[in-house]
Amino acid sequence: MTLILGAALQEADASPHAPLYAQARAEFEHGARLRDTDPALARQHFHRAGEYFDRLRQQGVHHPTLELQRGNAYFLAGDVPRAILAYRAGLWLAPHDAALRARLADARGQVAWSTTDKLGQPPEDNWPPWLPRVAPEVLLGLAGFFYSLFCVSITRWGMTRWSGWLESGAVTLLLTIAATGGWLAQEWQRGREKQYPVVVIAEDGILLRKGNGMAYAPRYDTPLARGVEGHLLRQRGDWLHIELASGQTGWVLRQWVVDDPPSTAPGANASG
Amino acid sequence: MFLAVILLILDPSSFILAQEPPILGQPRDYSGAVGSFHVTMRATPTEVAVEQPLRLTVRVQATRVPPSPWTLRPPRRPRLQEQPWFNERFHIEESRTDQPDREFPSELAWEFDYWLRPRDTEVAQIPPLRFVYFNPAFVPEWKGYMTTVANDGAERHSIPIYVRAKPAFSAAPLEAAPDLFVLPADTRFLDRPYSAEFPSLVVLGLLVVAPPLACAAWYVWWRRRYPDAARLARLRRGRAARTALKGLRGLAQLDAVERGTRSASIMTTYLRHRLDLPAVEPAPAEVAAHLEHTGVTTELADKTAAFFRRCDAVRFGPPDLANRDDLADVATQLIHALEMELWSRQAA
Repeated sequence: MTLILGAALQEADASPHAPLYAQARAEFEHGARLRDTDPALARQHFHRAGEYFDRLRQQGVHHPTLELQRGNAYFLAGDVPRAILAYRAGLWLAPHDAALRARLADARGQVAWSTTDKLGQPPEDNWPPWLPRVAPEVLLGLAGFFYSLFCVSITRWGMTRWSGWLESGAVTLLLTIAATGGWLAQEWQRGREKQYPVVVIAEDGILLRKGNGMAYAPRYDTPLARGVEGHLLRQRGDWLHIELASGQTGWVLRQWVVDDPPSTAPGANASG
Repeated sequence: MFLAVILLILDPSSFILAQEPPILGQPRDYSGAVGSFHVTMRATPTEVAVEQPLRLTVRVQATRVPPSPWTLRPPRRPRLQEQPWFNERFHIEESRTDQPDREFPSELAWEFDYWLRPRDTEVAQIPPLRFVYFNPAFVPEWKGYMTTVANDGAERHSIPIYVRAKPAFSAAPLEAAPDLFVLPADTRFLDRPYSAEFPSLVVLGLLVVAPPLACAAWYVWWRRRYPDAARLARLRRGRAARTALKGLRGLAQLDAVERGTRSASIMTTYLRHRLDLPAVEPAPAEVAAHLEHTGVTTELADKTAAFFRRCDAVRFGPPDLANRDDLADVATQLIHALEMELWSRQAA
């Protein structure tokens, strides 16, 4: 086991991302050591670790494991918005990952939701707990498998004219439709999140406005809490038009939200 | 010697020593680049807190290739830490190597990344980068050292940024599950891309087309391998009725009990061949259920079940029941009715 671990670490050491990851790990472990003696400084180190994980992401490392570690670092630093962002990014890659879902639920539990209405609250997860979540590629594979069985059943019915093959074909067709439907639903959701990226409110007391300016009146009287999630619909200058998880839309200043820049984002240019 | 002559003819420039920029007049912050260049900068994000990092990307692009005998020489990594404007405002993290982070050979461009952390909230911009290169087109040569700034020609040379106050970290006790404070040792994920993209149309097309094509090929091969198999399947069903009816006609000389027993047996065999009845000696209820399952009308299924019940009564009941119905005739009628229903359904 030690040999395997050593080999794995050696292989990772050869990675071009290894030095940056080592810095992130050092900050993280430093924070872990200080957690009992100096929590404020520990949180600072966890935040630094999160920033290094951000850089890894911008360098092109896209993996649910990285997002989980990034989210945990920000969560321990007390930066719930960035933690939620990281966990959502991980779930976009791996919707079936139970650890990411659990961490996201914990992070959402830190958000001070309004007690008067459900503004900004994500819809309840009605997924049956006894039903395992399946990775998209597994669903697609199952759909292909059942579809193949369906073709075989119909072919055998053509050969033997035995009605049992027709029944088998009907069952496998239903299973194909179910698996394909599940896969398409997941892909649609992921496509939507890619088109309208996730944003998270970074400050407490933010009001959604009717337009892109402070001159516009608030759309809703209830202020948003730090950690409320939404999707970016469009941007005008420094103002973002967002749609909350609960369906409401409005405008908010860019500096009051956090989002994940894509790894190839060119950023701002002085002439632009 | 012969090879040297050939090389001289084919590529005379290979015998010319590489030109070096003159030492006279060389600025201390000369980048090593030879040619004519344009420099731009971009930063992301442009809103950060104090001591939070932002990424600055400096792009150096050659605008003209130097004249012969000079060759285009790319720049070394500009050192921001040696430029006071940057050092005063930012903590700077930059690679130790002089190599660019990205190269674009077709565009004659090179990009260098830096991580800047603003020192305080007073920092409102990223100052323009000063870049020194050598342009050999000037005479005398020592006048060829040119200084430019990034984004030269743009409205603004600097990049405005907004720096928030440093967030205060809570001193409240850190309470979380113990496993949150541990990072796993396995780091292979760093180089293991996690593909989450929508499958390509080629893959999807293969998934949709390959199974029916394979099954069609299988069917064609089966037809060629067993040319009579399909015909035999159809015949088995038509032959089942003929065989049964022929068998029933041959029962005339037998006594009533024997006729009932043989009729039931012939009927069972017929149903097994024609409608895949699984049981060897089915109960009447089993027969009715199987017939209804295969799509036979309820009325006909009930009649067939009633036939089997009468056969059982003849075989096992009191002798006076044996002479009431000619079960062979009943069986013949049932077979005709079943064949008519099955064939009409098949024609439809």
